Amino acid sequence: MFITWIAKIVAALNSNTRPRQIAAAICFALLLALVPKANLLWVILFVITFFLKINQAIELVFLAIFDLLALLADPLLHLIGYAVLTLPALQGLFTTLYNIPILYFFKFNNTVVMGGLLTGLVLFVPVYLLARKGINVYRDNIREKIANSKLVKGFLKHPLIAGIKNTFGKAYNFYSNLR
Amino acid sequence: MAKKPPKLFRKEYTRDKFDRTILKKIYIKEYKDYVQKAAHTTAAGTIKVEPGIDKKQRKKLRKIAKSVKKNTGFVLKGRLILLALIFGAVFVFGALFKDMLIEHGAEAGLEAVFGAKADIQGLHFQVFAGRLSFEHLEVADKQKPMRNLFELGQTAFDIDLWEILKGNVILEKIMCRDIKWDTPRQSSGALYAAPPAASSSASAEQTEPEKTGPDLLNFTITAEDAAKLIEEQKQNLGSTRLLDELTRDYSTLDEKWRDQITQSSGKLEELSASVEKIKSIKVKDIKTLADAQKAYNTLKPAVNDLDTVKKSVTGISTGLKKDLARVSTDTERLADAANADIEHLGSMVGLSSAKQGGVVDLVTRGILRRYVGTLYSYIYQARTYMDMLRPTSEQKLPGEKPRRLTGIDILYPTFVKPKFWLKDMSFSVVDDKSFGTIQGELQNATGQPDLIGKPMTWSLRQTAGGRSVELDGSLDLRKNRTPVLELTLTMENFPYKLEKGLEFLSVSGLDCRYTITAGFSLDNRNYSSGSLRIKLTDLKLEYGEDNLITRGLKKALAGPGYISIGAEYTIDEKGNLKLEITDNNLDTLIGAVIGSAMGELRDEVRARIRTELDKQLKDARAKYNEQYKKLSALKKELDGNMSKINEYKKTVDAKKKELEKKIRDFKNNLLDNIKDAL
Repeated sequence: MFITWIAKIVAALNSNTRPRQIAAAICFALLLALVPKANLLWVILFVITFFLKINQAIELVFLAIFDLLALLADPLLHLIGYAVLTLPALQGLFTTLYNIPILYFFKFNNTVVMGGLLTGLVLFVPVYLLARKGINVYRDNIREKIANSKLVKGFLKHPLIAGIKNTFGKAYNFYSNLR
Repeated sequence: MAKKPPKLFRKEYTRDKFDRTILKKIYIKEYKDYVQKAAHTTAAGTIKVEPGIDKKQRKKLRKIAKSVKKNTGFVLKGRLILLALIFGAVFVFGALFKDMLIEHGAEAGLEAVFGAKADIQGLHFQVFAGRLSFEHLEVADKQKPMRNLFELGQTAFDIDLWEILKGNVILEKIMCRDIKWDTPRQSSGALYAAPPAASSSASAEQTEPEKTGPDLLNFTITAEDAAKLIEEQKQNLGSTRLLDELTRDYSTLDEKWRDQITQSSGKLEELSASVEKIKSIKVKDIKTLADAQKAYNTLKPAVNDLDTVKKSVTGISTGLKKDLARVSTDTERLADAANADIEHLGSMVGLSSAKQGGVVDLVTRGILRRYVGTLYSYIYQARTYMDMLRPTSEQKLPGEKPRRLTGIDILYPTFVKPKFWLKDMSFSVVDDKSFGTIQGELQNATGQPDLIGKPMTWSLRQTAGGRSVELDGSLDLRKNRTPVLELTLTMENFPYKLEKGLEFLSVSGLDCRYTITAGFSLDNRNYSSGSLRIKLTDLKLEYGEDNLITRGLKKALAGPGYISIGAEYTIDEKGNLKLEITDNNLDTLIGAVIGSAMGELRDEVRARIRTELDKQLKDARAKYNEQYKKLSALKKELDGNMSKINEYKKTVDAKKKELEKKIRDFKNNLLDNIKDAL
């Protein structure tokens, strides 16, 4: 499974996918990981990503990775959420939101949900910019070097890997023609 | 073989458009270089990929063209259109089939709550008005699958849609016509074949051993019975014992006084001669002082003897009088002892007047078992249904720990409403053949009463065929509330028949109409208590043999014409009924009539016992009387002696005085003569 994830990341990075699609996927994965599941807010965020042109493979891989990090971040998220939800200036707003029927299912009044949502939104832009920059750097400078390295070339020339590559290449072409 | 380039590259582009449309969408340097290498600038200054590329080139260009196409836009339009289509289909489907879907959903919900088949017909849901209505609903009885637990006619619900979005089902108002209970079904209402469950009302309706009541008919007594009874109880009778004792005592008394009186009589006889001699003295004929002195001297011993005898007779008389006074007291004691014996013997033939308490107890228990027991089971069922309305989310599974920190839910000012809340419901049935006219109201039915801070209340009025039922109550399932249930039930003019249990009153059946006013309260431990008043009217008793009790009953019931019973009862957590009759007019009426009859009978029995006792004491009493007579005779004799003594004394005293005067006269004459002589 881990190899599959690596393969997906490698494939996304090396294909002609827009860097912002990959960056947005990473950002959404972070947001979805920070917001606890089992509430309507998470479901809506997750469903939205299905209609956006982002790399969903990357999103799912990073969601799994960030989920582990979110476990560690929960106490901090709780503190942030608590601080915001108990902010006197926002009491009126939250009371109004709390009394809007459908928002009840968003569980926004939960400290971890609010902390996760705010942290995710705040981190969204910097992570997006960083990820896009990183992808560009990789594609412009590193990708060629790796691809032309003797190690990779030797690895790809190995009969077994060449066979797998050939088989997968044909299958991919067949699938592409079908579409 | 020369190949055509992919479609994207067949077109001619200006430099700007080529850069904007293609090159800007290629993010791999290798691809960018490849495309730029493959593209040529035409004479017109446009850029295009010339046809005649080889297969390998075409393949690579096609791969690049595909990725370029993908790298446009931010939204997956195809998926959005698909979503819109799905929503559209759902909306159309809902518009066409929503009523049917809700119907099935509601049926499934009712089946889950009541555990039996539910059927709804003609359901119509107006989304924006928040109104749900249906033509007919029936829910089968889980315990009796061939009958309906209830049936509703035309019904309309006003639902708070705003709360539905919060996940709460709040029914503002329900109006229902033609509600029916326990109606027959065409098909079985069982959801699945289940073994027949023991009725929850079984404990309340469990049959108690029939109470037969006390044996009141064994109260007659014959002369033989009385004699036998006296004979059996002889050892315990005070009168016979006392009579024997007195007879013995009086015989010694007679001996004691007889001797003394005889002696005194003898002395008196001796004195009579002396008294006669004194009597014969003629004081006028005495001429001298010496003769007078001589006569006086003969008088003196007789006077002394007479004083001695008188003293003796007075002593005997005092003693005899004392004993005779004791005899008089003993006579009274004897009469008292005889009366006490009669009372004792009378009590042996069961003439107690405090044995009429069974009738009321029997009637009250019968009615309680039959109606309050059924009511108790219905209440128990209702409480189970209320518990089922509690949201299951409140019941957290033990040991289930979330991986992530759960955080805290910050609560803001709001009115938290229950998951289900029926605010107001009214229903009516007008002149139904089976149920008559019914009017009912129900308020605040919810599984989370703590959230609304009110108990569930209801009232029900039913009138049919001259009978009526009124049921008002409240069910408070809020935490730490006692009592949980309070109920007032009034049932008027219902028929009641009691065929067993009144045999001890010589009554083979009781047919009447009853009115109950009952208070009922149930606490958290299913321990219930209450009071009730039962009034039985139109009483028709079928009497067996004619006896004192039946006559008493007839006489008692002829007066007010009704029986009124007040009772308090408790039903413990196991369903056992404890009943205490607090007041009733039947016992009072019967008690008074039977008490009077019993009094007459008691006198009769006493007279019979007195006669028999007298008969048995006759010999002893004759001896006693004889002794008593003897003593009386002695007293009479003594009195005669005393009068004789007094007469003698009078005679002697008179003679003595006369002689003393004569002697004094003689002495005075003598002194005068001496004075004259001197």
